[in-house]
Amino acid sequence: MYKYDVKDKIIISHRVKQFREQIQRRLKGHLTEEEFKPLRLMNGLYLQLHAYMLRIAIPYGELSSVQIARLAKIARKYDRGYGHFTTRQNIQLNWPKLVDIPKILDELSEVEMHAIQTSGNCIRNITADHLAGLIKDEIADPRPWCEILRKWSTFHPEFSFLPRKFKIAITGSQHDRAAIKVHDIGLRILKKNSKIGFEVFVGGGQGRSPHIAKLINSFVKKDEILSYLEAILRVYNEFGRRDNIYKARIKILVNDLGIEKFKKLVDKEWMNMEKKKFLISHKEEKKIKHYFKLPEGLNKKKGLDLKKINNGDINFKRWVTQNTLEHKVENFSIVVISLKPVGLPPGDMTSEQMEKVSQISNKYSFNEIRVTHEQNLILPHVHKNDLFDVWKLLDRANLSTPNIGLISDTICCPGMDYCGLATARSIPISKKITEHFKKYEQQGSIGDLKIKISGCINACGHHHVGNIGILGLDRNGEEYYQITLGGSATEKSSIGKIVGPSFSSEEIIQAIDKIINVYLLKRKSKKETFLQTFNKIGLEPFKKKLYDNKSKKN
Amino acid sequence: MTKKIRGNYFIFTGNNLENGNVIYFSKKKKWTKNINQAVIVKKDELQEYEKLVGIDEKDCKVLNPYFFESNVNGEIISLREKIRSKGTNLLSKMVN
Amino acid sequence: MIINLKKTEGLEFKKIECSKEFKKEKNISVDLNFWKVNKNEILKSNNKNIGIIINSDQSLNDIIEHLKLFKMICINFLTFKDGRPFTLARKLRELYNFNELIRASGHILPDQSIFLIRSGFDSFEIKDEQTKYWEEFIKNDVGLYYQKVYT
Repeated sequence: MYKYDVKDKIIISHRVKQFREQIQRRLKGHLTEEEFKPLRLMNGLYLQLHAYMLRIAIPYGELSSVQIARLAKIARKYDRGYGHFTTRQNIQLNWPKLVDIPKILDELSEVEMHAIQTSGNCIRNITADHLAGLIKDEIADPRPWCEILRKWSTFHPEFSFLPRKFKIAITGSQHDRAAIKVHDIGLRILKKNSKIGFEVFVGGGQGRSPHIAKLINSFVKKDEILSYLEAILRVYNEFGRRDNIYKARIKILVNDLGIEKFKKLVDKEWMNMEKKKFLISHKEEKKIKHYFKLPEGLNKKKGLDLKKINNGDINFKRWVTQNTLEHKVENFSIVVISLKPVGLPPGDMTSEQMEKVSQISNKYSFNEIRVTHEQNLILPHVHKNDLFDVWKLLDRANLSTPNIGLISDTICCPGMDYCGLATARSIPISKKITEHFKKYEQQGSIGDLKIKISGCINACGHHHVGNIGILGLDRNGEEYYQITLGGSATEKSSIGKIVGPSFSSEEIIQAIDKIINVYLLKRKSKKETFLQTFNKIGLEPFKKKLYDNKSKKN
Repeated sequence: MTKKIRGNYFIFTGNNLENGNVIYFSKKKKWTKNINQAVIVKKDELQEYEKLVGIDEKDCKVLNPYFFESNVNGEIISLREKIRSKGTNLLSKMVN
Repeated sequence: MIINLKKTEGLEFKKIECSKEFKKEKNISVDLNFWKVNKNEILKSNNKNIGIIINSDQSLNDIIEHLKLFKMICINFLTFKDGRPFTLARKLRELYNFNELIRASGHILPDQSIFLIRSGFDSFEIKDEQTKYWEEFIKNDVGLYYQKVYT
């Protein structure tokens, strides 16, 4: 994992001091809320429906056992004893006090964490494939590049007051687990003539006008990537719309100009730029890469203890099948911890649970933890011999739900239970889904399926790219839910299609049931996923099942 | 004011600047966490109360104040404000 | 009040609105509209120190040919949230090698001072009551940055 150097430490602690003073000025009334807002947002502090909310950065989703223990402590001491992991691999505290924020940031900085640029119209936390550096099909580990970009984007003097927020994601393998095509910039590491570089996509995004990102450059050499990003950001900063908040994202600019024209503007900036200044030196690259090597103990060969592995407990077996993946190092597994237990808010975790995970990671996973954009956690390196012990410990903490990738592994925004912008609640819908489909056998027979729920058109719950997307709406003061089908956030990204009129919160589960039944009926074999069936048969059969009786009745 | 206002009775609310708590403007012209003490403002009194609340905003006594519709007894109409007045704590079951 | 990072030896610019004033004064600043209307007259004038004021939503296009003429380019922030001037200043310094004053005026916050300086601004027209905050921000800067930009 990355470790701060002296410079990082000074920059972070200076920032805390600065924000402490800014808070003092606000409390004294020397800063108006209008002036304070962008400053607090740049430090991750929102005002939500009930209270302030602090979004803490987890750069590219990597946490140490010490860091998660500190998050547990902070949540207990300054909040209500729990936190919420987000779709951008960060964590949110829902009830902090403004006057406590400097103390929280101090405690975070002690473990090399911060809340910088987790909000505001600037370059946000860079996200990455949560399996980075762990799997065989990887071209190169994206994390060192995330770290290089983290530095470049932190307090960038030119790009801290952009027209709107700016999100970058990187993947290092063909299979996209970072949803790069629904980001403002998506980067995919490529190898061309044995040289590493980036395929660059621009203008993806969700919100009220969803767009799949367009290819702007098929290969930018790795050491030129900063100058290229600088050129894109500069064109966006100069020409992005500032008159209408809903049209201010880069996707609108790219769409209005057309990718060809946009590319011309970027190339012109790029050509004129003094590229040398942005070159990443070989030495720097090597230094950063060093932090992301596999832990040393991983290479010590330890044989398999078959008695331990073949434990007959059926719940353990299910969990191994559903929640673990093959590690690139022999005899190791990647463990996915589900934060989607039956009947509880997806992505939420109590301080006690965080402490448990810290201890387990310390004992069994080389002190490393990852956060996925699907709001689960990962123990990246668990020896197969230890899986049973890890499962038992997780099970005791209600962290062993065997549902990764299944229908109850929903992505969900906080919705109107917390969010000031929401038009409907999303957590109760997720709860209903996990309760309705709680039987493992049933979920297993449905297979891979991604349900994503947003409580408003801003689409923080990624509903546009859910295989089944659910969008909460306000219809004359009542909560209604619109369903989209066929969305995907993988390398074959697609935006879901609206199936028809929306459903009340009472009707929604029945509607999902009907959709599932159409799929089960129409699929060729168990191997055909929901998405494959949908792509084969289209919207009509689902529409028919959902609305035919309705129209007859009316 | 150009926006058309729906309803006849209203409650003023905002957040406490220091701790973020949801607060309501009370009959005693102070800010309280208790919605039962909130003053129910009639439509023709809105402007007068907006002025008072505006002064409190400048004095940092309230953050982002606004008003919402209630009925004559002060019962909240919108779901959003109902949720806000109750202060969701969805995980409370699990947290000591 | 004005904060200058470089010594300007008492050089101050009087903002003028009509051509009568233009003839009278030596150190003047004009806005983009005045420049567009009176461009020929301004170009003909000798022995004057000329500053130009553009708003944060205006581009450099109309002045880019004549940069050498100006002793100061002042960018007036319509709102502190408008980030375009940061790009304009960097382009002036890095692309067009403009070495004279670049001033920020209008709605700017002391909290932006380091970003402004690092983008190439070296002069600030600020509210008198904020002087203390500006000076503190500039003085307290630790001078460690992640990007190699103008400064």
